[in-house]
Amino acid sequence: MSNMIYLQSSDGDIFETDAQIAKCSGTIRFMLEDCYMGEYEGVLIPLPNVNSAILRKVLKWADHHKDDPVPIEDDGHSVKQVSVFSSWDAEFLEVDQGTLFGLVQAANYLDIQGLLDVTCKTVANKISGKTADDIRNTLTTNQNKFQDFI
Amino acid sequence: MSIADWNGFELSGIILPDLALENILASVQVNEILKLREVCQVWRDIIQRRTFWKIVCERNGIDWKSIPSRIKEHKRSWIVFYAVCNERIFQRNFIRNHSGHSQFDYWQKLQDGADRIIVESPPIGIDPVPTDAEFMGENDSAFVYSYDWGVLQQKLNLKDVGLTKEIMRTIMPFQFTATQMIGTRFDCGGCFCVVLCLLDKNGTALSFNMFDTIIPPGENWMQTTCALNVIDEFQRFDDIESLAILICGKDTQYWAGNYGIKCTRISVKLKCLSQEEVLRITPHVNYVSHPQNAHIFIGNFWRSILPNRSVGRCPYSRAPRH
Repeated sequence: MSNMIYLQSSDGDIFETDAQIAKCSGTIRFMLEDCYMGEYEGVLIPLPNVNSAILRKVLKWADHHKDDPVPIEDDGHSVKQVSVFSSWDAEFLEVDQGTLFGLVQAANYLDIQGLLDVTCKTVANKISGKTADDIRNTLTTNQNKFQDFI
Repeated sequence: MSIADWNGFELSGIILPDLALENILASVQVNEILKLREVCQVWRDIIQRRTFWKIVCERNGIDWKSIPSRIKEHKRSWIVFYAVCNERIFQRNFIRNHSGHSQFDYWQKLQDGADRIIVESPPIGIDPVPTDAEFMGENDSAFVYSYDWGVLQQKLNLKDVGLTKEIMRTIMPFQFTATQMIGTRFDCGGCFCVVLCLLDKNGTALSFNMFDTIIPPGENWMQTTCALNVIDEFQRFDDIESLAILICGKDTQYWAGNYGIKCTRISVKLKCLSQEEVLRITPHVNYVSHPQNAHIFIGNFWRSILPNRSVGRCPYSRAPRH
């Protein structure tokens, strides 16, 4: 039996997704397991901080990574593993800056460590090799790109 | 756009949460992090945080717990974290060409008596050097001394290796620990001595410590250690400019050729001292000679290297030219 749930973006669009895939998000996992006590078949979860375009991307990423090994809980001794940056991820993140930062924001809000790591690394790569002035200019232009995307 | 116009959190119209921004900045290569401080005040503040450096350390394979908490609590701790991640000051061996793989590069022959110091690759008349994970992947070779004293020196400008005055002051008390593998041929014994010495800009010794030993023939590889402490009572701390290590050796038989001590895997590392360790140190008394060796080590040789063994004299200006 598939365990489908529904995610509602900030624009009101509803996305049907497998609960197992959605659970890569710590935020959603917490809601399903603690708020719904594991009885979550068919529930609707509103995500007021994530718009449709970004949510679609996030779900695509989550679907591709659904078979990744579950990260081991940080026991405070082991050195934290850095998520593997595959060529699929690199291609997936070939997006405009607005979308990239939108993904960082969403990964942070949804608590998806793997996505947060690769998006942050991608932003970091954009920063590297630039002067402080260039960094300011790069990051503050395209103010409207994100709006266009929606 | 000036720094004041930009709050640093808003990137291309998206306002990022503090932790996400911290994660982004911590993903930047360590050698570019200093530059990020110039971007804006928000970023500058993030780069002074412990939580930020904890992520950077983890990403660079540095165990956060290995950094003493007294350093973490220091108000300028971030400069140490930077040196730890970028220069690996608590991990790296500061010595270059530690086993003579590239002959005498980076080493200066202060004294090269008799049949001279040579590099043997592999060392002759002795078992192979035991494997050691830290020195993996390199062919075995060793410096080999002859029948009169040879002295190799490597001088490290501390600023150049990432140890500025400010960093040293922040991590004090600390210790430079020199280790090396020494051994003798099956048929001839050897004398060995290692000196660690902090120098001012004129090459005058501010403090030194040494270890000496005489070992019989056929002694397989053993590790010897010499440590030099820099603690709060250190006099003339502000004059410290460089650290010198002297590797001295000869044989015990006075045989022509290179039958003397063999030395390899020379290492100098930096270590922070705990308060308990500091209490065990007697200030200003670093060197205690082995009484049975005194007749060998106190002689013309020592007068030329460290006159009267007193701190504050220049051991180098009087070293004989060869």
